[in-house]
Order: sequence, then C-alpha cells, then structure tokens
Amino acid sequence: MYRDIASEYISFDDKTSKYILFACIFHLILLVFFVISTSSLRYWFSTNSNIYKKEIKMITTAVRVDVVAMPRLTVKELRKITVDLNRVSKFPAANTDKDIVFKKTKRKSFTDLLKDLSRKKIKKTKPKKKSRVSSQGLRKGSKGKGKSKDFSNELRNLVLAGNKISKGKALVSDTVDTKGVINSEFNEYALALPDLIRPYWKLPTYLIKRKDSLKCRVRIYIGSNGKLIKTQMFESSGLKEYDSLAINSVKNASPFPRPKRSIRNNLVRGDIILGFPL
Amino acid sequence: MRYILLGILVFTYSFVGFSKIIEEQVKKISHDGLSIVAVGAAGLARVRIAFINKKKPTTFVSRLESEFIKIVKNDLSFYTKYFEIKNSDSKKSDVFLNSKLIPDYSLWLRDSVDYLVNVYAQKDLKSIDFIWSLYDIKRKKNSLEMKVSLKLDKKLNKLPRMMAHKLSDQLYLTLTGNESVFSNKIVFVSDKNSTVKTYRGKKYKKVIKELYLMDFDGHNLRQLTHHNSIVLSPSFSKDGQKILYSLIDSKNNIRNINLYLYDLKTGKSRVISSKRGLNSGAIFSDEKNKVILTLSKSGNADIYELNLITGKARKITNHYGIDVDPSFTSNGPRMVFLSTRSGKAMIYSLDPRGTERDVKRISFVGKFNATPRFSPDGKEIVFSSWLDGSFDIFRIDSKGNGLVRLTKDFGSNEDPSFSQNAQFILFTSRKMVKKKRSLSKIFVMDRDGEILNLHINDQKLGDCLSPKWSNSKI
Repeated sequence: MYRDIASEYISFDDKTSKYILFACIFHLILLVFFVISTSSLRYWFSTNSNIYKKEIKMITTAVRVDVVAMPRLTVKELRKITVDLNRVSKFPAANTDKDIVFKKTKRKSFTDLLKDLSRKKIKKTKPKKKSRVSSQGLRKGSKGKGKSKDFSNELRNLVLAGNKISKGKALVSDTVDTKGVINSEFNEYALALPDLIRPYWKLPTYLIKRKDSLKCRVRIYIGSNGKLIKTQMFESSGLKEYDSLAINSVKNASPFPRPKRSIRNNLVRGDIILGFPL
Repeated sequence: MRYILLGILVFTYSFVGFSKIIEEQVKKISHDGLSIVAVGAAGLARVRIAFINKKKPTTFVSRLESEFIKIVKNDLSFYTKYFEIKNSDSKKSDVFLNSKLIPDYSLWLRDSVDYLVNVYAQKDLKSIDFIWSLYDIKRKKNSLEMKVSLKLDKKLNKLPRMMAHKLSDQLYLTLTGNESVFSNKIVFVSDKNSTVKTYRGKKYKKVIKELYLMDFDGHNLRQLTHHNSIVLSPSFSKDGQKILYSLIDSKNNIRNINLYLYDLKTGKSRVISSKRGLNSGAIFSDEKNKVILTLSKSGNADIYELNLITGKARKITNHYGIDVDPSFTSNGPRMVFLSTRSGKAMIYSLDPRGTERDVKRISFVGKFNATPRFSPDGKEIVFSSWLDGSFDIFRIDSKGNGLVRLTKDFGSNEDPSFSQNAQFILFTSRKMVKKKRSLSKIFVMDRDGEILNLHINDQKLGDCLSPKWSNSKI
C-alpha cells in the first residue's frame, strides 16, 4: 500500500523530471559560485600580510627574577656575561678553555688541606676526593656531557649572587611541525638570534625619538652553515631608512651559529621572521 | 546537447573554484610554522661629528677660536654614547666663500661623517664674532648657524666658558632634540678651609665645611658661604637661583642643626628654620614657598612640610621609626624617603599631600640603605647601600623592581643624585689616600655606571661631599 502511494508521488512525467534536473544544476552552479566568491574575495581583498598573520606564531620567553639580596655584579658586568655566554653556548667551544676556568675556581679549604696531608699516607681515600669534586659540579664540563647543564650552572654561579633567576611559566610557545611534533630546538635557535642581532640594531636619535612607534618585520633565510642566504621585507615600517637599518643589522650579525641538522630545513625555508622591535 | 553544455559549464566553474581553494591551502601549508622573534628596542647609533681643524693658533683671535672648539668638544665628549667626535682637515674640494664653508658633501659622506662643524671668527674694533655652522651631511644642508659675539676688553684674556657651554647646549639640542646638562651647575660641600689648631699642647683639626658651586665639568669653582662652621646637605630650588642647606650652629654653647637659604643673586643667606634638634635634609617642594625637611623637635626624626611664609610645619611622616632623606617628584606627586620602621634602614615612598598617606615599601634587601633620590621623571630611584664593607650605588625603579648595581671596586660610593633627563648620576667616592687618611671626591657616571670624567677632582679641595645638580640652567 505504501509503495503504491510512493509510486504515485514519485512517478513524474518527462517535463517535471527535466525541471528537477535544471533545478539541481542551477543549485550546483550557485554552490560553485558561492565557493568561488568566498575564496576569491578572501584572496583578493585582503593583503598578503593579513593572511600570514593568522599563521604566524610569536616565540617569546620569560625569566623570573626574585630579589633575595643586593646584587653583587654591576649592570656592565651582567651585560658582558649574557652576551659572552650566548656566543659560547651557541658556537662549539674548545674543551680546554672550560677546563681552565673550572680549575681556577677550585679552592681548597684548610680542612681539605689537612685531608690531603692524610691522603698522602693512605692511598685508599683518593677516590672519595674525586667523587666530592664531581658532586660539586666543578668538573662536569670535562666529561663532555650535559652542555646545557654546564651552561645553566655557570649562569647560576656567576649571575645569581643577589638575584634568584627561575624560568618563567608563561609566554613560552613551542612551534609545532607539520607532523605535530614540538620543535623546541628551533625555538631555542630562534630565541638566540635577537641577542646576536641586537648589538648591530641601532638607530639615530631622530628615529628613536619619533612619536609614532615604527615597526617592521624581516623574514630571514639561513643556510645550513649558519650564513644568511637572503632577507625579505615582510612588513614594512613605511620608512625606507628604518627598513634598511633593520635589514643591515641582520646582515652585519651574519654568520649565525651553525644550526642542527633537524632544524636546517625550517631555516632554509625562512620560517623565522624578526620583529623590529616586535 | 543542452545538457552537455551545461555539464561543461558546471565542470569548468567548479574546477576554477576548487583550484582557488587548493591554491590557498597550499599557501597556508607553505607558510605554516612561521615564527616571529622580537629583536627588541634599538640601541642608539652614535652620531659622528667632525670638527674642521684650525691652523696653529698664532693670533689672539685664533687662540680664542681654538679654545672655543676645545671646550665644545669636551662638552660633547660627556655624552660618549651619543657622539663620536672626529678631527679632520677640510677637504680640497670644500669651498670657502668669505671664510664661510660650503662642504663637499659626497666626500664627507664617504668618510662616514654625519655632521660637520666649522667655526670662524670675525674681528671688529669693538668685538669678535664667532660664527658656528653645523652641516647635516646626509641631508646636504646647513642645519644650524649661530653667531656669538664677544666684547673686546682689556681684561679679556680667556674665553668665558659659559659662552661655549651655551653653544654646545644648542648643538646638543639640534642634534638630539633634548636639553643637555652643559648649562647646569653643581653645588657641594668641601672641607677645604679646615685648619689645624692646638689645644693644651695637643694638635687637632678644626673641621670647616663650606658650600661651593661649580660648572658641570668642574671648572669655575666658587665658594658661596663663609660660616666657619659645618654645612650639610645642600639642594637647589627649581629655578636654580636658591640653595637650601643646613648648618651646625653653636650659639651659647648649644649646638643645633639649622636650615638656611642662600640666594645666588644677592649672595646672602638667611635662617629659615631653627627648631630644636635637626632641621636638615631639606628640599624644595613643588608648591611655591614650601620646603620639605627632617625635623626632630618632637624627639623623633620625622619629615615635615614647612611653609616659608607662615612658618607652620605639617607632618608628612608620623612613625616611631626614624624618617629622613626626602626626595620629591612632581609625578603623582610622590616622595621617597629613608625609614627605620622595619628595623633596618629601608626605602619607602608616600603621597606627600597627606600624613602617612599611601606608604609603600620599595627596598626589601640591603644591610643599610641610604640617600634615596628620585629621577626627575619619577620613574627611577638611585640610592647607596652597604655591601661588602663599603657603600655602593644601586638603581631601582619606583615600583621596587629592576634592582641593579652601578658601582663596584671604586671605593666607598655615596650621595648619588640624578641629573636633568636622568642621563647622569653624580656621586662621591671615598678612597684611601694615605695609611690613615681617606679622601672623598666627586664623580659623574652615566645611568649604567660608566664613570665619565675625573677632572672635577682637585687634591686641594679636600673632602667633597653631598653634590647636587641644579636641574635648570643658571
């Protein structure tokens, strides 16, 4: 019974089936037009940079400083240290130099001297002494392991008499690969660049004093040897002099440290955009 | 046939549409993972200025000319971070028209010079005119021309330094758009006049500390007071014409620290406040005829606002701890001071319009902090603190963050004070001269602790203490 009713409704004559076909095609065309118009409007009526903006991530990091005593190092000394350590940690440094530094810091107290005297007679105590020294973290560098640990130890020992530095919780964003893997090596490399460029990033007074804060962004392509391949003005400040000074600062800072194999593709592809100043 | 045509139409449209979508997707994928790294605020590029060399000075006029250049160069060298000063001969292709220079800009640009300075003198019967020209090499124009005339007198044997300072002030203003410290002066206390006396066969030193005034670069030293007593903690008024200071008065064998006001125009000083106990550490308030100072008339040192006309004193701090060393800023307004209310000498700030209003503690560390002073814009505080057996100078922002050390291994450093624009910090440094004798001298450093010039120090001046800038041109 149901079938009969359905066949009554469904069975059309030739004319109505034609109209339905036309209607279908018309709707399809409308749909295609809709897709085209939305995509092309977005493509043509928005500037390139606006499209990019949605894809860009800002890499930043924060350091928390708790003041627990008066600082022992002056501003000048602190500036020198941060710059030097960046250079040292990024470029492969000779091991011998590090060893010398650690030997210099090694001091013996009076009790240690007494123990040494006793050790001359009893040889068995020698291993104990070694373990103590290594536990103080003085000879880690000579083992060739844990470079980053050495770096942080140095920083802690040198900078911190007075200020307690800890890694900030917020503001750290890791870039994600196409595979979805967090690329922290890339971040580390990218975050080291501003420190290397900043010494060359200088403006004359009349540009610094300008009330409208100028801003430009430069996309950089870095080769596998760390050399700058090319720069591209990503977002201009509108002032030629400012843009050229920004690009020149990058050129002067080149060559950059040799990147690790895993991030070379990102750098050659030009994944880093430098913001002057942001 | 119709259906076929329609089919083709649909196919082409859909193909165009999809190709656009795919194109966009490809773009998205290729730019995926772009990361922005902020380089941060730019440093200041040093401006390279070349002064055209003069021939060996033979005449009186050429001697004045070269002296003029020497002072201006010395002034500008104070701002080492801003300027790089070069000496150079004029180029062969430079043209001199009636001794006025028309430089060959392209050649100077090749020498990487940003600005060029030339001076020439014209002598009349009555006066000498010095004509200064500043050339902007990049823009190829004469950006400043100044004429300074000097009357010819029989007494004239040296160039008045103030004239040169004013010119370098103008140069600095044109180059940076800021006011400089070249026309500012420094007031300080020195024990130069101390004498050695004998009492019952024993030698002793009678300490006399008087008030002195000098140019920002240490020249034109002048003694202001002749009290034959001990002067303490001077400070300038806003217009730089009056100086407040305290003096240890001993009348009828009663010693009291009274407050005086010195007028630079008349050269006279008068007592302002002589209440029992301390009347010291005074500074001018932002309001007219009001002074902020430490009084101990109630038995405990507190900070008061004193009305100079009515003579009435209003309490600003009211605490059983000792409150001293006020420093004032018009932003807010806000006052920073030193107090022992926490048990140790720590820095606090408050709103000086009330009593104990909106008190905030700024320093939480340091064995003994002293002499906190605001920067003119009220954003930073500079103070000295006891560390490792001596005083050293530290800087902190007005909210209590960003504590940094400025001096180290440079003797015992005290009494810091900011200059106009907060570019320089004046301070005293005490060092051992002999086995049992130390000497305190005045030094200037920039806000990052770079010590700049040492020619203020004269051995004959003895102990120099409590230096203060006048934050206006005198």
